[in-house]
Amino acid sequence: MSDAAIQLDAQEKAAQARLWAMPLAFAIASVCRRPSRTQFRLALEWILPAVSWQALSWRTRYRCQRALRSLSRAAKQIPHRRLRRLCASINRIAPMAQRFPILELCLALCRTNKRLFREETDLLWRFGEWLEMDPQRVRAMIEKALPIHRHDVDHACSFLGLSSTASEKDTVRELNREYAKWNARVTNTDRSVQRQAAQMLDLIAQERGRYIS
Amino acid sequence: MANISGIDLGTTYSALAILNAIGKPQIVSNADGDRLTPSAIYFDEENSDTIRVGVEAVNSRHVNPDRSVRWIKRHMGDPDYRKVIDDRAWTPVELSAMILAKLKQDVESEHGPIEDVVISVPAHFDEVRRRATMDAGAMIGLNVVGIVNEPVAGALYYATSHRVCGQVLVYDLGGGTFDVTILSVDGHQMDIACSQGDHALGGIDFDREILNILQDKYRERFKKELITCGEDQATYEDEAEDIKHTLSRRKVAKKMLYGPAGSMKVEIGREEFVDAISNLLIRTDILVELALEQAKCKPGDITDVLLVGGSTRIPAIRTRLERLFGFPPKAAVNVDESVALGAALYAGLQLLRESPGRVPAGIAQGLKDVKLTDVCNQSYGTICSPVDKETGQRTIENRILLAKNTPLPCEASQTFYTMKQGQTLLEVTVTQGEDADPAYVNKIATYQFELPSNRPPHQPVQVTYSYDVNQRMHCRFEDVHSGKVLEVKFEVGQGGHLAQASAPAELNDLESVQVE
Repeated sequence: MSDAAIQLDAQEKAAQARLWAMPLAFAIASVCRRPSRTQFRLALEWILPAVSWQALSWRTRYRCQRALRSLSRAAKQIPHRRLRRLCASINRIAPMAQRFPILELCLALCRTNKRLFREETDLLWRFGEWLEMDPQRVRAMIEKALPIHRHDVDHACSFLGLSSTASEKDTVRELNREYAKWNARVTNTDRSVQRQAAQMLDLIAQERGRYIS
Repeated sequence: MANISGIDLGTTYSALAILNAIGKPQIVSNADGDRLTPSAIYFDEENSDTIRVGVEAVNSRHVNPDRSVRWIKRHMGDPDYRKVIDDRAWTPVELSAMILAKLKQDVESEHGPIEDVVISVPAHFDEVRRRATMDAGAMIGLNVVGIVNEPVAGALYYATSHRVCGQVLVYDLGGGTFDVTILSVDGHQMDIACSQGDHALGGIDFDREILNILQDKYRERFKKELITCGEDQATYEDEAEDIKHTLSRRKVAKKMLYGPAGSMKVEIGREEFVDAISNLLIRTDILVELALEQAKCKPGDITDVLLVGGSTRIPAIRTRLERLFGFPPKAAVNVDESVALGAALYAGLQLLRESPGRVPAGIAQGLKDVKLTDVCNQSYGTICSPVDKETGQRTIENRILLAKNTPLPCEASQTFYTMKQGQTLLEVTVTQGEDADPAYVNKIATYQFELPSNRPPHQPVQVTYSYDVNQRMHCRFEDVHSGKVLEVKFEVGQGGHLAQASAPAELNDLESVQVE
């Protein structure tokens, strides 16, 4: 097989992965509410490089947009097991470098909402897990894109990505680790980081209080 | 000869100790005869050039809270904080300098000149805050020979005044900050293992919780707010502090609340108080556990738990520590004074190292056996652009060279590589912080390093950081092939192009005011 053929194949796979990411993106956008216009536009812009948009006829573009709209409306109904299978398919064709942007797209869509619900955060974590991404990295991406003040903080477990099946000892160790991380950030010169760190420290202490009562 | 002194510049109270003729530290009372001076400032209304510091400032703030400042340590190093009084904006450094000026002048009136001092800071204070503290001392003409971590100072005094051998955990819960330090002590030899701390956890946070309880009780009874103006706020802040002190002695504290809708009697029990501060106590628990983990020891390995700071008088804290370690914690002397006493000892040790000629023979003899090995207080690194192993793409990363809690003196090197063909300039950044993500670390200094031209990419540049026992950091950037070197020395709190350094022009402004 020639280098050109391999290259083409890689490009096709990358485009395919982007297309398959659409149901994931719309699933996260519609988990608690209807996807907004902004979210639709963001998803559309993200998919354009994969479908050579400029080269398409206006009719095809129109059909694409309609198909995406239908998908955005129907995404709420997609069962999690199918989303998981979709992630497995993405994993087969896309290297890690192409999977990070998928989660970034999901985070970008979430960022358009002022506040996040637990179900949305949970699904983000699931996508990270299904796309076989390092949990620490997923956590770092969520923390950066969606600071704590955007979350429904009653669900600290969800935001911190704590496993409900972990032992008390492991959970406490994980909370301590998170505390050390945010404690080092609380004197950051950037006020938004300072604020987020202070909130996180409170949240972690509360969560720990629940574990060791 | 001028006195060798140590100053505990605390969030709520400050103290000054001097070394006597045989090198023993002793607290010096202020002009009011008190061993502790409240870290409070009040700008006189009638005479704008007169600034009251101490008890008088605490009392005056009830009259006009807008002209008073408390807890300025919480704002140390904050470039945006200003207290505006009569169109003059005062920085945290200047306000701290006023507190130091009061301590200095009170002591000098009876004990002679104060020149060489060490000022204590929380162990987790970063570069900017340490520098701000030193600037405050320099502003009033003090020769700040060093900065000592508060728990280290506490332990230093404890170990030199008691017979100690083993692993000691210093639990330092003051008015505004919390530190925990683990060190091994063998007589007068002290080796710091690690420190952990929280810059916003202390007595004033406990007071706030009590204040919230008072407000809730009043609101519940009268459906009205208890606090309606700054004067009320100042009054009830002091009441809350008083309740906290009472609850350290008794199980119940009683107070009358005189709010706008009527008066009522309130009772706060110890349990209610402990419940209100439980989240804050959990934070101290976490930091103790982290320190133990970092020092690679278990609670059973600790032979002594030393209490430092006024907030350790809260019985619940002592109970928690006893439960964790299996024996009651100890207090060296008065928990409010041990930091200043240790800071004075540290000043003597520092002068003996740096300029022994300035140390009187009696003091030198008294300190000759005391040995202290400190650790790096923060992690120091540099910004680089490695290729991400997972994605294969270049990322911007903070790479730590000197890790926090490395014993001093220490040195570490790493090799980095140029990225571009013909790269002639390298921006080198010294960072402080624990994260790999540059967004979460502080860039404390940035330099331009010029490289030879016409070279291919991937030229090695060796970066070496070292940190000596006098807390002087030395950074060396060497272009390996050409041998060209950029060397930067900066003492902790002095030098480099520090991001938030206070302007030197401000340093003389205090001369126009009189501190009383």
